[in-house]
Amino acid sequence: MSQINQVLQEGQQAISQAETLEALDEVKNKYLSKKGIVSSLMGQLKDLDNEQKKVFGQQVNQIKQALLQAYNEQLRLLEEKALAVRLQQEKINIELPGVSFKKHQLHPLTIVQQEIEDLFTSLGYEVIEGPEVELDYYNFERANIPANHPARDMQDTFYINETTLLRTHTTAIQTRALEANAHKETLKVICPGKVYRKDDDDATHSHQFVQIEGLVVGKGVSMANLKHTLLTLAQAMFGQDRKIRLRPSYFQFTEPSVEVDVSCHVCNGGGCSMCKQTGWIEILGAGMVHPDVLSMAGFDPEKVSGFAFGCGVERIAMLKYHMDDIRHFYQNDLKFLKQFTNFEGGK
Amino acid sequence: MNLSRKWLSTYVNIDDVSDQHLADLLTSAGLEVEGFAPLVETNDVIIGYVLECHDHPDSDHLHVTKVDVGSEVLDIVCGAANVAKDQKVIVAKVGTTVGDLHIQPIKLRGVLSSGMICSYKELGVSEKFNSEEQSEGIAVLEADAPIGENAIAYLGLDDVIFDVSLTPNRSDVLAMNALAKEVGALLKRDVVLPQNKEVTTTKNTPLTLASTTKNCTQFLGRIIERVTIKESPSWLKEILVANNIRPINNVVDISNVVMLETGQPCHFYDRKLISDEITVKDNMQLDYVALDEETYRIEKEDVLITSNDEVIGIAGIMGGDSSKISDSTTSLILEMASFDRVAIRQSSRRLNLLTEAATRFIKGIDPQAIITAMDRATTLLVELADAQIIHPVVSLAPISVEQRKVSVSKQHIVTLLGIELEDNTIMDVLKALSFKPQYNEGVFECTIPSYRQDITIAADLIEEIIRLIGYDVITSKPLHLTETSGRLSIKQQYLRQFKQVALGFNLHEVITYTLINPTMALGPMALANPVSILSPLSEDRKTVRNQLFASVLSTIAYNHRYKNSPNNVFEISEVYGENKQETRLVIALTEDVVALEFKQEKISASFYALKGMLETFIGQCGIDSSKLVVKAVAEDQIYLHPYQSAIAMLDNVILGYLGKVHPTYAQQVEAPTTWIMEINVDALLAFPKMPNYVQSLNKFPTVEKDLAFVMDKDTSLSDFKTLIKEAGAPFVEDVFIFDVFESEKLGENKHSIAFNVRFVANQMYRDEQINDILTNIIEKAKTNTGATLR
Repeated sequence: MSQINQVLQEGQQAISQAETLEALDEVKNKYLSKKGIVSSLMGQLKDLDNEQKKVFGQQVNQIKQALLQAYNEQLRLLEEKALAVRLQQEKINIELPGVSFKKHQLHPLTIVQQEIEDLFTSLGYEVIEGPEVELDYYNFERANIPANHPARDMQDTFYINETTLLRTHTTAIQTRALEANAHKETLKVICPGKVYRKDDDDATHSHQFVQIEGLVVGKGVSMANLKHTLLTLAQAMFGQDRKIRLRPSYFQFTEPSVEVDVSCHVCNGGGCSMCKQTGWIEILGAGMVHPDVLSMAGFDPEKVSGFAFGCGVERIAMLKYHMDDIRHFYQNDLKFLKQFTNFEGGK
Repeated sequence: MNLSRKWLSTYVNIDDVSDQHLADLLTSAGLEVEGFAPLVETNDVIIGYVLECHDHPDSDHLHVTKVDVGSEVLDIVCGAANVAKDQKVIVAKVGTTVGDLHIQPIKLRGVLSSGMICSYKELGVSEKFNSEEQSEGIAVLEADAPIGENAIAYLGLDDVIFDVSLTPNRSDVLAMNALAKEVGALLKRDVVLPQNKEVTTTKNTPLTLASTTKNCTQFLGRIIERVTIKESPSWLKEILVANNIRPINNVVDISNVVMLETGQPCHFYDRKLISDEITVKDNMQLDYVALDEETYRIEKEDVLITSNDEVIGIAGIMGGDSSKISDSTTSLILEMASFDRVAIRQSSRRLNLLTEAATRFIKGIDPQAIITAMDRATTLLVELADAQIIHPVVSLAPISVEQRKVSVSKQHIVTLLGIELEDNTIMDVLKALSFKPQYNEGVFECTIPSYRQDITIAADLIEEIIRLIGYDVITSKPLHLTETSGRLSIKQQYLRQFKQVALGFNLHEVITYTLINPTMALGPMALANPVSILSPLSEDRKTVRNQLFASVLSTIAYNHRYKNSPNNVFEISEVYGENKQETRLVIALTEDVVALEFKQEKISASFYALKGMLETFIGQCGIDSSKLVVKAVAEDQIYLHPYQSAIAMLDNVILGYLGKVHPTYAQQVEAPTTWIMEINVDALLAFPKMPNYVQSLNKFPTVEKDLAFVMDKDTSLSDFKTLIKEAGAPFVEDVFIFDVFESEKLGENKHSIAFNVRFVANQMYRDEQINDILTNIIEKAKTNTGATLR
């Protein structure tokens, strides 16, 4: 009996003194393996009578369980310690830089163009495009600019041959859209695209630029509707506080025609260098579609009316990003393109 | 155009209208004032009288003067050579500013000077209006100039000039008579036009007129005898100076002021230098010396004024040197004519001679102005040149007076503007514009004055109404139309998607010019027969690009020159050939797509990077990327590396090319080593897409096995992949190449390719089953290609 207790005591002590997993394993082997001390106690059974065998067997089993339990507890303790040590060894320097996942933004002209497209698609406009190498018929004739009009001179237009040219405005897309949709009750389109004029390139002129024009034709479309649409556009591009002002102007495509000024987004209309101290910035041309334009395309100007408006994407981008040289857009200097890193979205 | 406030004030009372108010008023009416400024920069100078003038004791050019300016006598040191005792001069007193000069007491070589005697130049009078004598030294005024008075007012230079930008439809206001009426309508005030006198004419005239060109539609001529050539009165000279025209003499000045008033260009000939027969002609070719003493090459389409077969002027543009008015002129032939504006424009542009007259003919002239101008010129020649004998007017065509009526309904006005307006408001505006409105049964009928050639339809009247009332009365109203679906086309959606994918590849978007140098209209896959501009601005902007290869390489070269990094870019643009248009996507790589940075593996620019990008785009289009076929390019490439480039195809459709730019070509365009890919987006989008249906999910684990084969280097890898798939059908789902190993030990011209074979996860595979499938693959590979398992 005392021998059994002695084994238990010594065993428990050995287990609790094992400080490493290896040491604990040794203790386990010494006491609990097939040839271990506990098993050897069982070897004494053969010398005992049946009554004693039963009692002795039970006692040996009890200490075996007790030792196993002690072992498991010690094992858990040592593993926790070992994990803590390992985790500490795995410590990293959290101040080193993050992995560089680069994501550039689009070209600024694309950004502005998409913002305007998105605004108008949300208002039910279809985005349509057309050929840049265009017939003078769609670029001029159908836009109410007849033969021999000064705007059709070689001086201002890149002619390719007598009847073909690089379109001078996205109105060419509109005249095609009018013709293709003359049967429709309502037409709402937004027409973005590259256009070309015979200008020498300098800080404010570019022989190539991007225009966006909008066109609505339907029953009872009025100048008041145009004003509402222009205000929506101005506020989406330059902030909800913007106001607009219409001034009489002249375009062949529209009658009446207006220039559209937007209250300055920098000084809020108070006067600054951006708006040349006037509080207003001219950004759009617009008007009611000329009845001849409608009838040439197959609409009946007695029954429907329409409005059209247009703006230069470069101009909007230059105002938005405070730029002073239009040539940057086409130079594609990476130092310039890298500056358009944040996504801004509409205002 | 220039607008003189002083001149305008002789037509309409604007005394109570400030300069800013006048500018705002004109701008809001569509006559945009771009700025206004005093005619001369100084306004505070006064008239002085030189009492004494001595040489400076200590200078060889300075003079010491005493100048009486009325209220005091000033000591002034003056450097001008022409200053002298008893002159009336212009004095800037201490405290005034002349140009950039602020006048202060100053000692000049020991003598105190309290003021400055001014030259015209210092006052800011344009050089053009000064005689040689005037530009040399100080201004010397008439002896009767009042001492102490404002010199600017005395000289008639007390004017404010408005710079007005005109829209093409409002050329009518190039005539002061019409502009004054416009201001009168805006201010609702009366306008006083210049009054002409009845003149007694001779009974007959020897003048005969003829025309042999269709481009002369009217010609009024008149002989006026016994005129006296002299200096114009100051009011006339002031008008010309304010309009930037140099006064010459009374007769020439009258022809100019009549044009400024009426908009009708006038030309006066010295009658003794031509005959009394005038014919307008074209279809001549000669060299001609015009009034400006320059020689112009006349072509057949130019319209000419001739007398006795002698050319005396280029019609509508400039008179001739040989018949011009001189001090000895006594008898005149007046010309007021109408010419075809297109003909004049073409001649003016070709001769590069855009005179005041030509500008007016090109923009269009009030058809009635020709009559007004003749009357006005006659009146002024009597008044200012003492003309004694007036012949009757001879006209080429009958003189007709057009009466144009334009109507608009109230309903039309209200509907188009989207606002309510009172009948009276509309009537007031139409009356103010002298449109003589009649209102009957809801319709305004107007009789349009001849100078408003721009008013022809109802919409024009509506514009006039809202223009004068002001656009501010329009309130914004949302559209009420049938619902329409706002959308991007499928192609537009894909292009946006492609741009986002390209950004994900760490590329910058560039936008380059469409027009390129014809020598750059080349490259792999350039469209045939590029089109060019007939008369380009320069050789560099002549040809409409037929590919994106050249443009993007020049962008790469630019950024390389400035060491901008990472020099990897893309562009999506249209390209054009004769009767052909394609949308292209180009990608150019010169640097690591992903750079070697902290905790980051690099991905180098390479053929394989481009190919992977292409496979992504193809995948984005719902096309199985295994449909992509690459073919080696021809070996005689000049744009691409012949052995590191490929033609990309989907089935039999050519998509584009990808590969390394040929080192010789790259060097030629100063580009670094560049990998480039150009894809026909239209061809890509036209390829049939796989439907995007979701497969039912199962719970079997994925099984994959690796096989490495030693094979001939020229064995097609895409064919080999197909072989594996077919031999393993229907169990093999996909095959990927994950390693290439080359070693001489493998045998001559051999390499080892490692494939990862992925099984369809629709069952629990047994080991024997997998082994059977692999064995079959290995046997097929051996039989078909001679490849052996490594």
